[in-house]
Order: sequence, then C-alpha cells, then structure tokens
Amino acid sequence: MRRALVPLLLASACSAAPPPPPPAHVPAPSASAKAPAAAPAPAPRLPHVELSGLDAKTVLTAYGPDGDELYEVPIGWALAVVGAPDGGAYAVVMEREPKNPYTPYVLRIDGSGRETFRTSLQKGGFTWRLFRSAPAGTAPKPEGDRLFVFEFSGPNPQGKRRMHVLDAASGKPLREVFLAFSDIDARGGVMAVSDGSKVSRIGPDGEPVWSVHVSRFPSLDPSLPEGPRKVAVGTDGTVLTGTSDGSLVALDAEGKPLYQLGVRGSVSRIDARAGGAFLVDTDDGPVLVDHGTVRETAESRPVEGVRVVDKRKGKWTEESPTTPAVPWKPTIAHRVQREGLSPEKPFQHVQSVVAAAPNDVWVLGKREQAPGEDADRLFHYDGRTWSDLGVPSMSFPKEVFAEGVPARVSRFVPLNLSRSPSGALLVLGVRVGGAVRPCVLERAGSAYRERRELRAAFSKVEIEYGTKLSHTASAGGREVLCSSDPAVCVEFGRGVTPKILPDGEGPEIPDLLGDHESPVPLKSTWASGRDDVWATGITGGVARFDGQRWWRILGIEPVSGLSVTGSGRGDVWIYGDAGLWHVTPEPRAEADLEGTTSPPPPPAAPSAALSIVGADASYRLERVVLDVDGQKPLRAALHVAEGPGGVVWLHDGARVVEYDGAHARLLYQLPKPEPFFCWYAPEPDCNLCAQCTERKPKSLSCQRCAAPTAAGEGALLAPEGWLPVRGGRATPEPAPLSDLLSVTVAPSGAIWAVSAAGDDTPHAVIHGPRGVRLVTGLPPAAYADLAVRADDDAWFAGGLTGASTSDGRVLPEGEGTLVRFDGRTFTRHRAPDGALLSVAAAGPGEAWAVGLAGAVLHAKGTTVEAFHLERDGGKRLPVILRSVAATGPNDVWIVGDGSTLLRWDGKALRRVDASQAGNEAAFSAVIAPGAKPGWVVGPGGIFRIVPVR
Amino acid sequence: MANSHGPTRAARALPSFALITLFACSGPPLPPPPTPAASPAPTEAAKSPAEPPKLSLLQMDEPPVQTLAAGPVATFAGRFEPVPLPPQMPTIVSVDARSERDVWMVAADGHVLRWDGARVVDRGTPQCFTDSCCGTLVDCAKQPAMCAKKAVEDCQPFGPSCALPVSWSSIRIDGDDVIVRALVETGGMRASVVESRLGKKGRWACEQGAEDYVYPGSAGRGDGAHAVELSVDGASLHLEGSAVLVNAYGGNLLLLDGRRVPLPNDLAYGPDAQIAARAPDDLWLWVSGESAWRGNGLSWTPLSLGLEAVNDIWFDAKEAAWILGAEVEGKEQLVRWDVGKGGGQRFETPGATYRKGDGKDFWLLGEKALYRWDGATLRRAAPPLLIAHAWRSPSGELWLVGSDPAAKTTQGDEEIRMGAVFRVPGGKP
Repeated sequence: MRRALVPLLLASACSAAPPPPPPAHVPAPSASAKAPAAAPAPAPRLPHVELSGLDAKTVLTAYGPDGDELYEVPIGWALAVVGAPDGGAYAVVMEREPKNPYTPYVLRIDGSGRETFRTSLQKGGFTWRLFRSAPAGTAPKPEGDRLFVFEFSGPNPQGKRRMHVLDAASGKPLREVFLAFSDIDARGGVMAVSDGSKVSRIGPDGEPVWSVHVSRFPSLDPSLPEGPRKVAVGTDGTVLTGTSDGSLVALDAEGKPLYQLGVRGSVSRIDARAGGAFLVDTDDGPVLVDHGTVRETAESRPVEGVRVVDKRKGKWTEESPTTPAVPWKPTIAHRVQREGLSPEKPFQHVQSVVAAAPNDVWVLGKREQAPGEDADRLFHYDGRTWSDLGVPSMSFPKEVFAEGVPARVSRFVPLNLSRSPSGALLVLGVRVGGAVRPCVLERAGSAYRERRELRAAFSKVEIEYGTKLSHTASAGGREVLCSSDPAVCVEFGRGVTPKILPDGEGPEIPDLLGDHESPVPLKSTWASGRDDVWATGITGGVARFDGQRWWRILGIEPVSGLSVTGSGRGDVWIYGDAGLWHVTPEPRAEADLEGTTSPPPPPAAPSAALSIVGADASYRLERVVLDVDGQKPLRAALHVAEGPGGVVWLHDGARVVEYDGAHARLLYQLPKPEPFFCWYAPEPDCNLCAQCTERKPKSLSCQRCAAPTAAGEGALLAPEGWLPVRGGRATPEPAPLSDLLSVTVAPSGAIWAVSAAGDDTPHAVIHGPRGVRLVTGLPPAAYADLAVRADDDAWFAGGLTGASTSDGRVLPEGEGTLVRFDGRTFTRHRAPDGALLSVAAAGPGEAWAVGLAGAVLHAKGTTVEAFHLERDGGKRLPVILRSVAATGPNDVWIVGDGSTLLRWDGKALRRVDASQAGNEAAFSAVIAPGAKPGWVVGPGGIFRIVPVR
Repeated sequence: MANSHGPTRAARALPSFALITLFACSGPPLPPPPTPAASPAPTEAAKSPAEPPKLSLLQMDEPPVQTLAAGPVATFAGRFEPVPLPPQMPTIVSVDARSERDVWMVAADGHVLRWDGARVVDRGTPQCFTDSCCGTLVDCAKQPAMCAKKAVEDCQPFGPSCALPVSWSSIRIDGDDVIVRALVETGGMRASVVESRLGKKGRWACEQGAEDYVYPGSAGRGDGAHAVELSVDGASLHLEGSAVLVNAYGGNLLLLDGRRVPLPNDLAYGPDAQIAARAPDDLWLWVSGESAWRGNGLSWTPLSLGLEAVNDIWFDAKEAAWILGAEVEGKEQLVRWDVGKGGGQRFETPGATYRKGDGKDFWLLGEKALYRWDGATLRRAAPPLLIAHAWRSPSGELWLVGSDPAAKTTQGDEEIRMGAVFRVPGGKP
C-alpha cells in the first residue's frame, strides 16, 4: 500500500479527477462472528445418516464416525430430516390419520435408533425445514436446546408462514410464530431468515434479534419482478444474502454490514462451505464467495457437520457425478442468414428441408404467422430466390377405410420431405379421411404422383394423428418409410415388394460422431464428412465438429427443437418451428481478438460522495429543430454520434438523420408496422388457442446506437437489429451476436459493438474494413457501452446481470462492471452503486463511466474511484446518468434524467444551465463541445451546447 | 485493508499534493483550484474507526412521502333542471349530443329519445336480433320465422339456435348518424358488437362488422381496432392495448413519433393502460382503478401520491396535474399536484370515479356523486338522480341521465327504476 501511494496520487492529480474514495473495505469476520458461540470448533469426525427407499417409506440409517452402521429404522413419509451429532436425527414426517389424512409430526430418533418423541404439528403442507438452535456438532442437551420447524406452504394473506419452536429434548411445543420468510439457514447458533428486502436473525425464542433492510441494485425498470431472497449462514457466523439481480450482502452475526458485491445471474441458492466460504448458485453457474473474494472456478468442501445423504428414489445428491462439459469455441467463420420469402416475413414452422444442391433446396413450412396459414407449403430455392409452390396436395378417389363404412374422400396432409433413389422430391404425409394412412407423393414437374405401392402395406396399420414420418433411400433403390406412432417401418422401392419390417430392422442411423461427445444434447446431426459434422441441441445451440474440436455457431436463436441438414460442405440449413437459417462460410471472418480474463475483483469500497459545485456559466443550450428533406422535421433524438469530418447522426428510434452542419438527410426510417391482431387457431387438444401477428415495431434498447465512419457510411442499431450503412442506405444484416446495445467507431475506422446477451457467447465484435472479428476473453456481462481509443485501449461498461423485459429488451442490471482491455488482459472493476450505462475514454488508459443511481466511476490505469452524486444536504442524488463524453481528462460531460447536464472541468463538477429543456428533461446522449458546439439530445428535444460569449 | 483509522495517508496528503501535481502534469500553469469545491471530501474518509462500511444496498432512501394539504370542498349551489321524459320511461343508460338543442338518449328498454331544445321526442326502439349461440346478427328479412314474436319469446341464451333481442347499452353521434350499440354475450370466448343506425328516413338499420380478427381495443367480434391518439408539442402519441381473446395478448404498445416507447414491465400482459401527456418527455400512464406511472420518454417511475387506485389524470394549463383516484374503494380523492414546484392539494371526493371537462372547468361524477371545479373552487353537489351517464356541452352545460332514486315500477317479478334526466347549466354556479 505504501509503495502504491505516490503513483496513485500522481495518477489522480494528473487527470485532475475528484479525490479518490477510501480504499476498499476488506471484509473480516466481526468480533462477534469470532465469538465462540458463532464459530464453534466442529468435532473432527461425525456420524452421518442416510435416507433410502421411497419418500413415503423412508428408511433412516445412521453410521458412526468410523462408518459402522449404528441402526436402521423406518420413519415413514419423511419430509425433512436433520442429523444430530450423537448419531440420532430429527424428522418431520407426514402421517395419515382417519380424521385428518395428512398430519405432520416431528419425531426424534436417538443415537441408538429409538424414537424418543413424536409431536403433532396439527396441520401443514409437504415442504418443511428443520434447524436446531444449538451450534452444529454439539450434542443435544437435556434442556435448553430448541428445535425450529419451518413450514414452506403458501403464506397467509399477510405473507407470513408458520414456524414452530419445540424443546429439542422433549419435543414439547413451546411457541408458534408467524414469520415472513423465503429462505432460512442456521449454523453455529446463528439462524437467519430472508424475505423480499429483509434479512433477520431469529433468536432462541423465535423472535427476530435484528432485521436489516437490504435492497437490490437500482433498475432501469423498477417494475421488473424480483426473485425470492436467499440466505445462508457461514461457519464463522457470517450471514450472506442474495437475490435475483446477483446482489450479495454479507452481515456479521450481529447484523453489521461486512461487504457487498455482485455476481452474474440471479441467485438461486447459497450454501455455506468449509472455511467460512459460500457456494452461490446463479443461473449463470456457481461461484465461490470466500470472505468477499469471488472465485469462479474454485473447488470447495462442504461444511463439516452431521450429513444427511438422501438416496431415496428420484433424489439428487451432491455425490451425483456430473459430466464435464465438452468445450466448444464460438466462431464467426460461418455466416447465418434467416430465410423467408422476404426479409420482413421469415419462414415459420419449417417441418423439413431437402438440400439437393446449393441451388436446389426444398422446404416444407409456412410463409408467415398469419390467419389461414394452417397448411404447410412447399418452397424451392434456386440459389438466389425462393419460389412458393403452394400446399402439396392431390385428389384421391373415394376409398373404403374400414369394413362396413361407406367409401370416403381423403385429403393429403404433408409432414416431411425426402428424396427418392432417383433424386425426385418426395413429400411424405398422411391421407386423412376415415382413417389416417401414410402416403408418399413424388413430385414430377409441377405435379405430384402418389406412390400407391405403399397403400396395401400400411392399410392394416392404424397411424396416430400427429405421427412423424421418416424416409431413407439407398443407392440400390431400396427405400424404407417409418412412422413414429406406432413405430412401424415399411420397406419398398425398386424390385422390393412392400412389406412391414420386423421390429429392429429399420434403417440404420449412421454414427457421425464416433467416440466424440457433443457439447449439446443431440437433437439432430448432419455431416458432409468426418471433419464437417453439424449438430443441433435439444434445448438449442448449433455446433460444428471439424475433426479436431467443436465450434459454436453464432447468430441462430437459442431455441429448442432445431434440426440440421445440408447439400454439402459450406451449404448447411438449420430449421424448426422457429424458422429457417442458411449457414455458409463467412469470407470476411478474421482471427479473434483474444485476451485473458482477469480474476473477479474484490468487493468495491463504498462510493464517495461527489458534490455538484455550482454552475458552469461558460456554456448554454440552444434548441434545434432539423428540417429533413421531404420529411417531418426532427425535433427530438435519443442518440447522437459524430463521425469524421464533423458529420453527425441523430437517431430518434424511428429515424436516423445525418447532419453535415448545413443539411439534414434521412439515412434510415423504421418500416411502417403491420397491424397487430390475433385470431382463433384451434389445434388438436386445444379449444382455446389464439395466434397473433408479431407486435411491431420492437423497442429500441441500445445505449449508443449510431456509429458513422464517414458521410453516409457506418452502422446503426435499430429495432430490426444491426444495420450497416453504405452509400447513405441502411440495410439490416444478420449479426453473430444478439442484444447489441452499443456501437462505436475506433480510431482505426473499425466499428466495435457490445452485447448484453445473457448467455456465455462472446460479448463484443469488431467490423473492420477487412473483415469481422470476435472479441474473446471479455468476461460475460450485460454490456451497455464501450469506448475504444485503440485495439489495446478499450473500455466496456454495463451491469453484471441482464434483465429481460417482456418486450424483448435486455436491461443492464445488478452490480456495475467496468472492464479495461489493454491488448492482453480484460481487467474487471466493480461499480458498487449499480449498472453503468455509458463510458468515455478521457485519455490513454483513462475513462469515465456513469450509470444508475448517480453512479460515476473514474478509472486511470489500474486505479478506479467510485463516486455517487450528492444533493444539497448530503443525501444521495439517485438520478439515472445516461451518457458521458470527454474531450480530455479535464473536460468531461455527463447527462441524465432530471435535466442533468454536468461538466467536470478538471477541478469540480458543475451544472450547466439546461433550463431550455425544462426542469425534468431526460438527456440520453451527449457530444462534448470542442472547437465546434456540442450536442445534447433526449426525447424532449435536440440541443446544441454553445459557449456563452 | 479496511479504512478503520480515519483518512488514509493518501487522502490526508491530497490537498497540498494536488497543487504540485497539477502544475507538473497539466502543461501550462493553471490558476489555483477554488477549494474546497475542487476537493470534495470523500464521505468515507470521515468514518470513525468502529463504523462499518456504508454499503449502498443498505442505504436505500425511503421514497419521499408526499404530504399534500387538504383541499377545501364547498357546496354546489347550482340548479338541476329536470327534463320531462315520456311516461313510464325506464332508466336512461346513455347520452350523446351534437348541441344543447340536439341531445340523444337511449333507455334501458331500447327507446331512443331526442331533446330538440323544447321537448323530448321518442325516436323509436331499434330492434336487432342475434343468434343464441354466437351473437351473430340475424337478418330478419331473410329469416322472418326466427324473428317472429313467439320464436323470440321462446328463445333461451346458449340454447338451440334461435333469435335473441339485443339490449342497447350506449348511444353516440357520428357526424350525421345516430348509432346505438350493444355488446352481446353468449358465453363464447368474447362478446359480439351489434349496432343500429338511424337512417335519413327515420328507420333504424341493424349492423354488425364481418371481421372476426381480434384487434387491440376491440370491444368484441365485429369491432375494429381502437387506440388512443394524442398530439403534444408536435409529437404524436399512439397507445394501443391488448388484443383480448379470453386472455390478453400483446400487452400495451406506445408509439411516440413512430418509436416504440418501452413501458413498465407490469403492463406487459395488460390490462389496458390510459395515457396523458404534458410534453413528449413528460408522459403519465395509468391503468384505470390500478397503478400509475410518470415517464420521461425513456423510463418510468411509479406515481405514489397516496392513491391505491388511479382512475383519471389530466392537466391544468401545464402547471398542475389532476389525479382522480382512491385511497381505498369508497374513499375517492382528487389530487392537484403542482408539477413544477411539487406539492399540492388533496380533495376528498367520495363516490367520484370519472370526469367530464378539462383542466380549467370539470365535473367529477359517480353514481351518487357529483363535484364541480370551476377553475377556482371544488364544490360538492347532491345529484337528484342515480347517474348512469353524462354529457357536457362545449358551453359547459351538463346533462345527467340515469334513474330516479325513488320512482320504481314492476314488470312481472322485475323491479324497474324510472328514468330521470337533469340539465345543469354551465357557467359560474
């Protein structure tokens, strides 16, 4: 620390930043947490109990410290069990009584397997948890010990649930308390419950000893649902609580704060581990929190104590082996294009694809989601355009489907496509009339011919509606058609008399992978060779095996049920209910920009207050209305970006206008949305179903949405996604990354983009003049913004967690994160007040970032200082800061809600008069003034920042 | 290291050191920084050694409590002028007008009445029939047997297909046309809309839209899409609700100059919202009888003025927002909130659930409640009828229609209230 003092001061002073906040609080167990009652020394070796059998007939077996069986007793329908150090156990069991068929009891089994008490709890549900008041590892005392029994059934109208307090020795009920809790844990004599925004320690009498109000990190949408709050008690008495935004707060046993930090993802469970650590499960995976240090890959040992190993049928145990994941590396070596009759109307519900050649592809599916699109249609692709060939159909003569039933007309329902040995297209389907029968149509020219030879073979098989049909053909002319329900295969073809094959003699499915495990649970595979194997996952994901390793194909929606096929190497088709994607080599793919990921940083120090010191009278705002050729004037904008030569792009969410200082022209206009409506769409087993058109337009969710590289050149983010602009025209293009929130132009002219996607795919991509590069090594987060001074001096800002809204946006949430890339390493920094929304580079290795709740971060080199805005009177000013811009270390501009327009001039942060915009305007983007006036924009208007003369 | 011993050496050294380093690093000499503004002392530096860290997740400010002054409510002294109705006329359910001399009303039994400035004239009883199964309009000219008196009397809802008469629930003027409307519920997934239009020859003609798609804002089968359209400071606002087919699909959608404005996640799946706007970046959104939010065009903040339910929001010359809501059901209140300065008044308006008029001059109404804001004072009136509906003329005259709280008659086992209509002249009371 002493050695770092002078460089730190120099760095701070040279950049003329606000004085730094105090160093981070390094958590240490409090005095009370170190007290004997809070941190007992567990017995070195303890017995354990094992549950076996079924839930309703549980057998409890106890083993001594040396592993010898102590006893085995049936305890009935066990709902919760906790072991005791004497080899005994306590359990909640459900009994069936004549008067009340479900009566829960608490029972005690002593160290010799004898039941010493059985106390009725009168009533209750099926989810319970048990805790002893005594520290773990201490034997039950004859008196004074308490047993706490929590019932997790639905809360009462006041949101409270029942807790029973019993004498642990006699089972005598002592108290019944109603508490609000969503999670409980107890260890070392400390019992904590959590609910919503409250964490409490419960004393031996069942009453709260202390309660602490714990909030989540601030959110851009406070109405987003909160998940349940989790809590765990560590072996040193530390109470750790977390919730759905990944926020974690540690308190000591007396309720005093120790530290806070964020992890990525919603916290679903916290378990104490040995040595005072916690294993925190989130929907992004587990992390170890060890005295405030987050370890993403560290192993940990369970807490020592009397273990209960549940080996009953269907129970998961910690001992269950887990298969290590097969690695797959994301790649953009393949270009993914969603297909349809037009870009606005992609195919839907694609049932089947036959790719005979890159210019001869057949698709069975639907044109769009619209009324009347009930039947699947046949489409053909000639390598350039799609043709709609209508619904495959055929007229059938009346037919007797069952003996004694008059002849009936049947209709053809297409289900699948295939090719005959001669290469003709086959449409597999069923004739639906008096029965459901398989039927194969062969396309000849523009007509169909029925393969009638199958009729006799299938006439005795009752096919279920909804069956799936598959067809294989060998070069020799043998064909096999199989139905899934019932599972029946018919052999036919040239020189073959159609016949039903015996069970197990269906077509062999080629093993494309050999001994290689797939990174996804396989739904479908296709290969052009051993070094070009493609796989789709049951729950989503598309992977390619090149003979050496697996690659993850980006740009396809992570939806379940996709299948893969192709005509040959470099011509691959992915299809399913969600649509159809064409995968071809990406000639512009370049090598990844790779960096190593630094370990997660320690908890951040609380932010220091940053006061707004008076007014900066050297600037004022001028309202601007831009006349656009042939268009409604542009009065407001959400985003503004300046390109080389002073060209400015203004984005109002529906239009993008380029302004060259004299004229404004339209670069992009959101397409007029088609009306939204719904219609009855009865399906089998669904009498109350509706389908709707897609509700458009989508919301614009980006933070930095325009990146001009020259007049009429650059890229946009719009409701349709990624839109390169060439020659003054913006055209949507597929993007390998989803949920892009910011684009910016690097000094090299390359356009960098960051993603807030919730998955573990890369979160940044670079579109350079020569090609496209993925940025790998950037730690996953919901990135809102980036600032690039060079390929080895880039900053990324956002929230650790992304919250998905109902209209499909991803909002940066949770703890803020600021990442610096120096060309080799991605170094993470925490923003303790919440997600960051904007970052600006102020000089080499120096950046400012702003975000929710008035959060301001100043980073220079490896030093990061966190501040929060303060209002008069010393209270926090929790205003949303939406954008920051800087021309240098001593000229930083910050804008946000509440007409916030601030300037850091190297000495102080001052307010610039924004009264032109009103008192409560929201400013969403800023360009700092330099030689030319700057810009501030928001939904209320467009303003130039001009110097006051 | 925990900062448990006061300011760090770095923090203590900073003020004097800053001058040296500023001079050394920033190139040309700079004037001395105006302390202390240039050096805001970090809050944490002043901690006492025993003080635990001030974690932001434990520092949440309580939402500010809006204390509003109690607004005075005076007594309304205006006149209620009764409008004579034809004898035995039951409750008047709806009213609309072109002017104070051309007022149209529909009664619960289907009679359409017109006030011509001197008297009320009966303009007939439009009769339309729908099939009993699905609410589809029956063309009695083509199927006279279905519409025969006996067949109609015997027809039961949900029974075999037969013709049921529709009951009109509202009346509206659309240019030259007078239209009555009914919502027919037959137990299906949604209601059907049937209308009858008064032709130039004085005859009523039954109508039903043919389209069966479900649009946002549609009242039922045969009804098209409906949206709220507003214009403020040159910006256009378009608010659509859900498409409802048993369930609500699509949620709410707000367009501001063609851009979709993200809405609070609570409104993702409905119910339908209402909107009022002071500016493109000052939007007020509410769900009638539920919550309200205020938005700046980018994000929304829940409106907390002590009202559990909000029924209406409107503005007064851009200075004040009026919010009609309820603390709890039955304890309706009107809040006048000074948007510029904050603060305002809370008026007790029990029973008032909707408004007629604008920010300068409005009426608050409920079945048994009537209040008048004349631009200066809120006054409580004692309406001499049970109010079913109201119309307010451009000059401020209020027409109240409904039923006489005392006069009833019986028809079979059914007790029927007698209709009542009152005019309340506009202008100062």
